[in-house]
Amino acid sequence: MFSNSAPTQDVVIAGQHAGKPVRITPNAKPVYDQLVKLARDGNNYWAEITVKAINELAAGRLHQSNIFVKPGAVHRDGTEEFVMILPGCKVTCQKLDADGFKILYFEPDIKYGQAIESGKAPGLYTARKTGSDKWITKPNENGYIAPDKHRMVAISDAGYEDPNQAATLAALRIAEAPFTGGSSMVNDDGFDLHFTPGEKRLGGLRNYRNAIRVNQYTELNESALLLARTMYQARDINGVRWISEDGGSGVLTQAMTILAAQGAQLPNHKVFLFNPTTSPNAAIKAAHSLQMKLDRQFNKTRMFNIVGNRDQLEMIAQRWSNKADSLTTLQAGADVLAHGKSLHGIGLTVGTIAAGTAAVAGLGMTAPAALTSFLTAVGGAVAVGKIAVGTAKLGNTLVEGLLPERHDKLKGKF
Amino acid sequence: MRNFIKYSKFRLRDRPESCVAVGPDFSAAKLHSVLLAGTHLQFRAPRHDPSPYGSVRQIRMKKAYSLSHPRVLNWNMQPSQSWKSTKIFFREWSFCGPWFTGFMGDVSCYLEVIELNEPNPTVNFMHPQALEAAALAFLTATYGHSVYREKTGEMHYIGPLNWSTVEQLEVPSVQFDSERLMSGAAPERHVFIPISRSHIAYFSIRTLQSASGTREEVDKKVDPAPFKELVDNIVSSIQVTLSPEAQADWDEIKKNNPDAKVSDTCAPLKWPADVAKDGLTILEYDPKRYA
Repeated sequence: MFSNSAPTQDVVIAGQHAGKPVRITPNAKPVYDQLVKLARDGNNYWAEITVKAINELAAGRLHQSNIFVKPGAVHRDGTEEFVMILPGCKVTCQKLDADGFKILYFEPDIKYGQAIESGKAPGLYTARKTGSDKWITKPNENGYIAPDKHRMVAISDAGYEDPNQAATLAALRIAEAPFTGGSSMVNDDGFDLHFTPGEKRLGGLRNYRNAIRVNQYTELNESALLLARTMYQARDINGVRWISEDGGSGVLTQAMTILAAQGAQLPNHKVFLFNPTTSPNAAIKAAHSLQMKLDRQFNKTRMFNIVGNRDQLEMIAQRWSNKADSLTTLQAGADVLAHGKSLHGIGLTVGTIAAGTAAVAGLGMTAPAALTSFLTAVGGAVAVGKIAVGTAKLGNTLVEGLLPERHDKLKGKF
Repeated sequence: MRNFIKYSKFRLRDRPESCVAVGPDFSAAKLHSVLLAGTHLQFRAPRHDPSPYGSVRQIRMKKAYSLSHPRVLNWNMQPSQSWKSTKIFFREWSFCGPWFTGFMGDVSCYLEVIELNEPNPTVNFMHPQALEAAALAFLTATYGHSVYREKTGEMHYIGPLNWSTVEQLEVPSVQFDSERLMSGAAPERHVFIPISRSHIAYFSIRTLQSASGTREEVDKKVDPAPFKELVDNIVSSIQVTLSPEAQADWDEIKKNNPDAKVSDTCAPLKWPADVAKDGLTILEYDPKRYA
């Protein structure tokens, strides 16, 4: 009653008139206002996403289907805490009993725009080739791809310090996609690059848990939200080709999942994963729900890429059973066989040979067992013969699997 | 040998707060020489040592070039497509941090011979003024159209900076830098040397420090000095002996106007701007001109 300080009543920032009210503590209000101002001046596309996402809390359906919402603790009184990781902002919310939301903690980065410009935050770049084989990039002001028909967009892995480095490597790799027309087309047209900064590469065996449950991989949320916006804005451009490179598959998968959850469709766009280091099956499910066009090949996975090969069979089955996908039974069968060239397949063959050799050496066995082993050994020998025929091909595959950078370089020579 | 082990591309440790990267040993660099339509050009360059990102191949120089099959520059790089070029030489050198902190950046040197797409008999590039105009127009054709914000006219690049001539050369020459305005500077040294009436030898020496952040942050993480030293070393090793015809042209220009020389200074150009199809006239920027 005698205090001079302002009453600490929460302020409603969304859902005043309809939907669920979203409240914020008075301390956080000025920061929120600043964010809204940035969003409205039209130059900060990242702030638009953030403010919209906060407002969408009012619509009430946010925290079930959206992957950028990480569930937190459930309190004893039935309220629930969760965290949203948005571009330039981390929001901790509480779902209130009385059917509303309260923003508990609000951690915005007002300088996020500068961070995008200086390559410290995810963003969209335009890449062009210099006279030599080096590529240079420039940040894109509003995160829209070039409005050209059949535009190529590369989604790069993390682990590059500068987008120029990412572009030079991505240029070699997106030329591998079946529908890019090879490096001459890539070189002439240039491409857009969705860049994700970070010290470490995304997915792969080192991040196995995240790699296989890619939609729960929270580190990618910011990047994926920005990419999802880019994809949505490009929905009316015909034939846009989204090609991920290595761990970029994680960002692309999440972005497609976000769009799918929002009910968007991209029937005119194509998608391809180059050597995905996150689950390709998760990617194909999202691509199917966006009605995207898929080529005969959906990904190109290197031999020793465990994560990329792990659920290939499931992925083929998924494609085969999906009516919208054009994969026929014959093609699915061929893909299953082709999968045998990966580490899984080789492992199987080597196992057979080893068993056969062991059986021939083990003379002390009883007759029927020895006979079986002998037959297995013969089978093994046939397999060896087949490998010998395929050695040249296998050699190439091995180099590609073991020394990917070296393979890209050698390939450029032929 | 010690450097080979101490400064390798292997990265086993976290990057330090700041570091001075070490590149190739220029004192061991070989002398490379080439005949370009009769003009003898030589410079020193260390062995090719590409960055681990993309491992770009080198372009090996032949002994002589007739320059009879130039190619139009890519529209992506130069929307006006007003210049043609012949690729001559490309190498890249990695710079590494000490004791397994890994790759820290690279310098690449690209040499091409440029000429106008529509030959212009009235222009003689042996004349310092013509060379200067050509250099500025070429730079504008490549970078002048690269706008970041259409509303405010903010650009991606700035140039020319540090304008000067190549000291040791008797023939006209001009060198300057262009820099990126966002993130690290990624300076590019441009060197223009005329080798005949219609041909210019053009060196583009790019530096990329492998670090993210604003320019101050990048320069703090990876010291730009060693990179600049290599660039300066290469430029100061360039030697030119003109072909008899080119020499005659140059002698005549010197005789007729003994004061002819490249300007002493040049302020950064006012961009955005376009270049006309003739390759020399700088026009007002129009995003739809070459769209």
